[in-house]
Amino acid sequence: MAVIFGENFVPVNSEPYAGFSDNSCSVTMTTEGILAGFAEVAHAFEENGLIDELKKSSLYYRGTKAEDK
Amino acid sequence: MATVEPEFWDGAVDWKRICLQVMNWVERNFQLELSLNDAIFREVRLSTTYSLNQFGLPKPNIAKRAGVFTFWFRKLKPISYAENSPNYFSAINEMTALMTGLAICQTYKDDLVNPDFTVANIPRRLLFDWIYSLRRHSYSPHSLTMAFELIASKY
Repeated sequence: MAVIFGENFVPVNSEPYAGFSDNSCSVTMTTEGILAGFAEVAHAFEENGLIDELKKSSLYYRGTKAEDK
Repeated sequence: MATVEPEFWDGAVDWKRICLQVMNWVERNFQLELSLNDAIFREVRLSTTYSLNQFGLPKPNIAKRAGVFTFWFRKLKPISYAENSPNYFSAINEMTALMTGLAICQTYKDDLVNPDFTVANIPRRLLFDWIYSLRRHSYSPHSLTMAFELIASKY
C-alpha cells in the first residue's frame, strides 16, 4: 500500500516547520527559577480549592485500599 | 561499560531537586508517603532531551519544554507509593508533571509567552479536568506542547 502525502506535506523536523513561527527562545532555565515558579503554582492550587476537590474525587482514597473509600 | 548521556537542553537544571520539592508538597497536602525511582527519573530526563531534539530547534521555547517534560514524566511515572503511605492518590505523577510544566511557564517569559500569564488565572475546573485527563486519557508530546502554547502564549 502506498502512502501518498500532499505536495504541502512538511516533515516536522524540517527547516520549514522550524521556521513556521518563532519557535526558539534564548531563555535558559535554572533550578531556582523553576522552584520559584512552583511556589506560585502551589499557592494558586492551595487558594483555589483544587486540593479539596481532588480529595473528594475518585482519584483519591483514604486508607491504602480502594474499598476503604 | 559507561554510557554517554546526550547533552541536556538545560544542563543547569537540577530536575531531581525540583521533583523532590514537588513530591514534598504533594505528600503534605494529600497525606501520602512517596518514593522516587532514580532510574526511571533519569529516563524522563533523557527522553525529554530526545523529544525536544526532534523539533530541530537550538533552543525550543518554554511551552515546548514544559509540554515535553510533562509528557515523559506522566508517561514513565517515576513516583510511586511507599508501603506505609496512609492514603492513596492515583494521579501523583500526573499532578507533579503538570505542576512542573506550569511552573516553567509561570517563571519564564520568552518572546512567545504572554507576560500577563499566571496560573492563578486558570479556572479550577480546567486544572481538575486536566489532571483527571492526564491520568485517564492518551497524550503525545506534541498535544501537551500545544496545550501549554494555548494557555500561556500570547496571540
